Parts: sequence; C-alpha cells; structure tokens
Amino acid sequence: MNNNSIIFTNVLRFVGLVLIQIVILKEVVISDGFWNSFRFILYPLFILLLPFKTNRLLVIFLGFVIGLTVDMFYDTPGLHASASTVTAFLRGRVLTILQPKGGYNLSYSPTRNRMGNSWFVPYLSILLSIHLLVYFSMEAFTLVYILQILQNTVLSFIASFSIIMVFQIIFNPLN
Amino acid sequence: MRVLTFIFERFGALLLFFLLEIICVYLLVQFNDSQGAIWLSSANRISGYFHKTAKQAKDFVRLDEIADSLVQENARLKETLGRIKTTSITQIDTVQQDSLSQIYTYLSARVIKNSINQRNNFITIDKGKADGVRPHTGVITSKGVVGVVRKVGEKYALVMSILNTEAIVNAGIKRNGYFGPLVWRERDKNAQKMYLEDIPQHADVVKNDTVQTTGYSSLFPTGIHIGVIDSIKPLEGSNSQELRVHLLEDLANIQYVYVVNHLQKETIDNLEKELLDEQQ
Repeated sequence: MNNNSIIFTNVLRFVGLVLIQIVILKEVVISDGFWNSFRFILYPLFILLLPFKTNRLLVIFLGFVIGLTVDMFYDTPGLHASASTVTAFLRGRVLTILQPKGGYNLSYSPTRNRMGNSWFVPYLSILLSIHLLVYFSMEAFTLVYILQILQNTVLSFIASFSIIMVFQIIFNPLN
Repeated sequence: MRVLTFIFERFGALLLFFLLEIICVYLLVQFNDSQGAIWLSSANRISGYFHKTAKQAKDFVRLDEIADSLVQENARLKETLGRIKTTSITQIDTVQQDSLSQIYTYLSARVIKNSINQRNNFITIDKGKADGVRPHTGVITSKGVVGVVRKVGEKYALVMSILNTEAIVNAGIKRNGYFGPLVWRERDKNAQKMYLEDIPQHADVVKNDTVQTTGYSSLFPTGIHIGVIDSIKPLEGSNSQELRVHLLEDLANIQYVYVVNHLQKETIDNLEKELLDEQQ
C-alpha cells in the first residue's frame, strides 16, 4: 500500500462511517424507557483503524474532527467530540499495552483481518467502553446520575460492539 | 529553543488533547446559551441541506398521510372561519377596533429534522432569517405546542422542543383557569407525556380536563389545546398535585409547523424592560 491509497481509504472510511452513523444508526433509537439506553455508536471505528504509523498528534486531531462532524448532525456540539478526542488520545496507550512480542508492522493498520480476533476484540472493547463512558458522562455532565451512566454505557457497549464486529466481518478490510 | 522542542515532543500530544477537550467543554456549555454557535448545529447550511434532502426522500413514501392531515386541518380552519364571519356580522357594532387588529401572524414551516429521545431535544425547520423567523418565538401545530425558536440561520432555524429539560411552557386548565409550568421529565423517556406543576391541591381537577396555553407570555396565542390530564396524584409534603398530561400532538411524528410571530412583541418587551430599569 502506498501512502496515497492509505489516505484515500481513510477518507472514504471517514465519510462512510459518518454517513451510516447519522443517516441510519441515529434513527435506530427506541424512545421507551430501558431500551432507550441502547445506542449504536459506529464512528469510533475510524479512529481505531488509522494506520499504526499515523502521527499521534494527527490521531488526536482527527478524533476531534470526526466527533465534531457527528455532533453537527446530532445537534450536540462538543459531546461526541469530547468522547472521540479521549478515545483518540488513549489509542496510543492501548496500542502500547497490547503490543505483541515482535512489535507491530508499522505499514499495517490495526484491523481484525491483520491482527486476528484475539487481538482485535480486547483492543476494540477497551477503547469503545472508554468512548461510551466519556460520552454518557459528558451528556449528563454530572456524576449524580452515575447508575444511569453506567447502565447506558454497558447496554450501548453491547449494541455498538456488535455492530462494529458485524462491520469488520462483512467488509473485512486489510487496511 | 531546544527545551521548547523537547517539551513539544514529549508533551505535545497531551497539550493538544487538553486544548481540544477544553474546546469541547466550551462548546457543550455555550450551546444552550449563546446565539453564536449556529454553524455547529443542524441549522447551518450544509447539514440543513443534507437533512432536507434526506427528509424529502423519507416523506415521499408518506405523502398520503401528510395530505390527509393537511386536508383535515383545512376543514377545521374553514369551520372556524365560518364561525368568525357569522359572529362579526351579528356583533359588528359591539366589537371594538382593538380586538379586531391582528396580533399574531403564522409562518408555515416544514420539519426537516426532529429528535425525541435525547436529553434535550431539538427540531430543525426549513425557514430562517430570510423568511422572517426570529429567535424566541413560539412554534405550534394545529394540535399543540412544539417549542421555541432558539437559533436562526439564514435558511433554517433550530427549535428547542418542549421535550427538553430546559423548556418550560406556561399552561393552564381550560375549565377552571388554574395555571402553572408544563415541563417534560427526561426519565420518563416518553414523548407524549408532560407534567403540569404548581397546581394547588384545592384546585378541582378531573381526568380528561383540557390543558391549554395561557397566553401569559407572548410566545404562544391563548387557548391552544395542548393535551388532556391523564393521571392525578397529590404530591406529599406540598400543597400541589402531580398532574400528568397526555399531549394531543405526537411530537415524534410532526411534519408541518407554524412559527408564531407576535406583532406587538417588541412593545411588550420594551415595557417589561422599562419596568425592570425603573426598579433598579
């Protein structure tokens, strides 16, 4: 993969994930009590799949940008952006923690296809749960509703995790 | 210089992270108060256009339903018009000139984006500054109250839905005139239930009493039916009762709305401002 095609893939992924998020997944919310806690959050996948060699500052900035883009359509300026900035910031740390013995092949991207389920599932789980926890905390903007926040996080994690895995299995991208 | 480079290499990511988070929190806090952040909401041109196109595609399959609701409203309006004509003929000599002058004008708009399941819900309509929409004006439908215009873009406007923890509508009971704030409670997660607060326990309220706008603010005309009382509970430890109101309009499903323009709003606002200034 040369640089241009990597950039092209990621731009396409950015647009595609945001579109699916705001056109389809945003509407899939049941407004009734318990079921309302299930939110399908797909777009953090963009941050997760950026190539290993992406500059750390760039990762954080792109996290901010995709969050703000989603916010524009959710009418919640700063909400998704704050969560995805945290996710982008911690991506580097999580990559360090999960580093296999031989290190990473820097020309790859951390996809399920390249790294396998046993690496990808923990990677996705850690970052997705952080993302959702920050998201729901910022939404409530106070820790008074901590139980509600935790319930939302756990249930949305189930929903979002499933949809992201389905996406990874259907498209199974190499980069 | 070398120290600066070192600091940047070592802590650059952390600094950028904090900077961006501060921006996020600022946006989050500012959004509900300022009129400035319009470009970040769905009332800006790009996302407004996007929502409009998506909405048109969705609406196409529901044209019958929409036409139906418009025909019904037409019929109702014709009926009212007939009534007004007859009363003005018989009572023309007793009607004062003041009561004939128009107070409200209505601007019809189409809902292009709607949410009912957030903590604070907003609606985007396809009319904006260019069409004469102003901030802090009420939005209604033929069956109830929708919200208050918060931000106005050139071609679109963002309406704070009454399903918003920050929105308070003044409402009263039609039969006996008791009134209080009508609020939405997020924990109910129900788009058709709101609560009428501060109604004293001695007020005689029965189930299915009609709740309507009071007209004590210039946002909404008097006497728009909002809903009916569907459960009554005395609130322990206070003198008021908990009245749950079932809204007539299903806000999940609105297509066309009217922006209410109060023609004397500036006069009233100025009077109130003068009074405030005097008191200080």
